[in-house]
Amino acid sequence: MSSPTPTSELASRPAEDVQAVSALCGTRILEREGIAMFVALHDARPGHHLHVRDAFGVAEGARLAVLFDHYERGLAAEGVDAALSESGAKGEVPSEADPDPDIDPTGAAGLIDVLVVLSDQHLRARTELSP
Amino acid sequence: MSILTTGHQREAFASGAFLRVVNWHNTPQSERATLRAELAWYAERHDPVLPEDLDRLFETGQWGKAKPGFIPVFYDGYLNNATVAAPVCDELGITAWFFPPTGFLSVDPEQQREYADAHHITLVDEERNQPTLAMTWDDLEVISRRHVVAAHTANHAQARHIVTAEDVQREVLEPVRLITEVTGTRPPAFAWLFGTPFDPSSVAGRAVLDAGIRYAVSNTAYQRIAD
Repeated sequence: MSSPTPTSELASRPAEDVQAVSALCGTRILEREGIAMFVALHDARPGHHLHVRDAFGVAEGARLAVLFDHYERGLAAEGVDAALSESGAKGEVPSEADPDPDIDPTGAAGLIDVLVVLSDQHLRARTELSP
Repeated sequence: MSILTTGHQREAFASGAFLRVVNWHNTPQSERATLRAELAWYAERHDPVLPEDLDRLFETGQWGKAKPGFIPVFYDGYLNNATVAAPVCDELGITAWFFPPTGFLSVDPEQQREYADAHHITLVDEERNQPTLAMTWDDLEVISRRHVVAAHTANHAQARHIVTAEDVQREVLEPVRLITEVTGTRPPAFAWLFGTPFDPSSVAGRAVLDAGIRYAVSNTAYQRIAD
């Protein structure tokens, strides 16, 4: 039996210019547009672990992880470039750990950036009326 | 491993532990056609996910749905969520999740603009001068007949600001109680302003557990926190 096939949006090629997509996502008007997001499912109950047995879900997840890696790499390169140009430091990569909540109240700005770009390219509705 | 890392997120995705959500805030009448077109687009490709669908997945590992699931979510209790978003979802046969901060619904209309500006509830220009900006409790009861109503604090609060027993009562226990009383159903999920994840070691996290919430909703994850 062949493996389930991810939906067409997940099967589509990832964006080559991740930084350009990221810049475009920055122009979205969060307060009036539908913001698509792939989010994780996590069992936080002590002694529990979510084990997905849904074959289609697992197949899609494998593809989603590949796409996630692509966009993470693309944005990490952007982050290194920005850090180099702003600080002049060499070889430093922005850290995800413990951001100041007064600066980043979400606590996960870098991760959210990856998810926003990923979701914009492989989940967001494409209609004639969509911005 | 903290869930707020790319490593955790990737690991979850790779194992199939992921969910599609689409988050809206304002759904003004001026954007009704766009909203309807987009919701129809999602519904053609995905099935709406209900709390019991999440329960099934967490207990059995199986979605049991014909199409990949998605959750359309409407935040912050705007009147336009009641007058536009909910009716559009009803037309399309979609079940959505609504997360109103209960304080917004309880403020007199004359004070809602000031309340919104003071509590990170962004208004769209074309509606800023409307006489009413928040849905009513009656609106929420009507919404609850076909949709999921989840909790989003009373005054649009952040988890890190929940420190005292009074904070817990005001921002967690009372809004959960009010939603339960009005809708007849305890909210299955809870989200904080700015979408921070569940932390069982925090006052905020323990409060959400004590309120009987099953799912902690954050920017990057839906977490099952209780049976």
